[in-house]
Amino acid sequence: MFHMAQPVMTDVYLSHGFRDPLSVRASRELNSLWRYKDCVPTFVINNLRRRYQRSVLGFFWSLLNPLLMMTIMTVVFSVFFNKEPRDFALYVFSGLLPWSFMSATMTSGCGSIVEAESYLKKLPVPKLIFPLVHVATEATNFVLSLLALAILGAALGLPFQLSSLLLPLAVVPIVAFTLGITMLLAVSTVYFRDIAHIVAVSLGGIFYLTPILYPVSAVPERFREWYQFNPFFQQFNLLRALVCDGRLPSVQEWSIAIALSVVALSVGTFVYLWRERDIVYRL
Amino acid sequence: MKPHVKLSDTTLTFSMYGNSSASLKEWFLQFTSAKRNHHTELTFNALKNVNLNIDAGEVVGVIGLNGAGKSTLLKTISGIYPPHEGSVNVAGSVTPLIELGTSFDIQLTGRENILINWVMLGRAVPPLKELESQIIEFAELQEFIDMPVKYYSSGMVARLAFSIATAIRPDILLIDEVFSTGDERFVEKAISRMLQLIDSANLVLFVSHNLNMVKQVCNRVIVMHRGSVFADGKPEEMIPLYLDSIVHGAERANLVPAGVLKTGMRT
Repeated sequence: MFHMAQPVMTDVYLSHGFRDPLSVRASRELNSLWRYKDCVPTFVINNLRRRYQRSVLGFFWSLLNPLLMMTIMTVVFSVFFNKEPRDFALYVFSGLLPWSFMSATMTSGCGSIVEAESYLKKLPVPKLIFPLVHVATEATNFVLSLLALAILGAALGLPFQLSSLLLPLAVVPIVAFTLGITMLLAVSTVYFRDIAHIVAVSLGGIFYLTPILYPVSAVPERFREWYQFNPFFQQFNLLRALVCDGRLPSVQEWSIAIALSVVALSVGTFVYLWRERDIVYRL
Repeated sequence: MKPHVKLSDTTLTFSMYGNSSASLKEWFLQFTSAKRNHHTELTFNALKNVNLNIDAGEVVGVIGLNGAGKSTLLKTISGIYPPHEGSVNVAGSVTPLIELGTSFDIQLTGRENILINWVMLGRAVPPLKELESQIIEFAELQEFIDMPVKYYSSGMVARLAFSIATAIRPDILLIDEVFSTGDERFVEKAISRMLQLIDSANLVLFVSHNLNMVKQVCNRVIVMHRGSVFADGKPEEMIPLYLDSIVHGAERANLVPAGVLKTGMRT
């Protein structure tokens, strides 16, 4: 009746708490993440399952939702603005899908650590699990929305761009960038609960400052050079080049996107490790 | 290596925050000297210079009044609270049985929650399948296991949580008052499993207000009072001491506020 298997893991935990140097904490965090690695897929699957609980189409909605959204937008643009769908669909959606992923993940990811209070106060789980789960869940939906874009493209009779095969390479920096920023925001929100609202409003504004619905050429010349400082634009620029323009992004474009991701991840990791010990006291 | 727990001069400082404490505005305002010390917060030592050395083979009962720091001590040993001063040294696999079941996701089924709770205890997924049926059987939830937990009674939740947490034998077992709900029959069954676990675990810390049970299972008792170890020794000496000097003693008069340190801006 009673399983008496020896526990697999024997661990040694030595903590000087707030006086541990960064290197010690970083390696402990890595150990801990490795030990709790099974939490991430388990939670992602459960999140997706819960989202579509009791719905007839279930997980299929992840594909259907962006497909319907894009179809409606295509109809609206072509009927009300007299645009030819083939001209704008790929351009708009190759910007809009990654933008939606980045902004939605960052906005709702602010609360990922705060909302995990009930776990964090009862179990010694690494706090990083929760932003990771959040980003992974949204990234799954993002990848499915790209699949929906392919379906839409085929339905509109657009030729398949060979360069689209490199799409996974363009998705990686987008996800890494989003993860870094989400880590930063999730930790900051523990201290300043107003951040979630500030982020939501700011991203709402940035949406209109980013060439998603309009081409870069529509921007007055004197402002145009500022666009290279828009990290969101730089991130989906790769994806847009591959899917919409059918060209390989230049070395410079790759480097900017990757550098931004590395910076975001580093800042996120540093802030997390800096505050990690204190978070449980602030929930 | 033999399991052991060692706390050296461990001090934990808690801050209590009001509703509007952690705002961005106040953080910026502290840079302008005029508004400095505008906000005050209360800090107190949940643990104060705790020194403990617990070796393999010891079953330690932790007793004390509410707010004495018993649960905080267990959470510090399990790694939930990093110490502000001093150190915590633990060797061995730890299972914390602390506030069981409150981390259930009530939208999901019992079976899905078994998996969540299992991985949240830092355990690998594969051996779960073998254990799952044993967990369900012990919790007596065969008919309900594929229903969302929101339809469970609180007793059913407690049974499931207890069954998950105790399904595997740890080196170090941290138990914090886990028999608050559940019918008498299950509590009896749970206590017998608990005794079995205590027998087989190498090192146990057992927080309880049930002094009879403490006397029955423990071979060492720590009396906590206001965040410090008040006394430490054999159960037959410590329990009368606790009753005399703390529960009925003069110490009771100046109980609250426990260990208040200072008020002021802390950043």
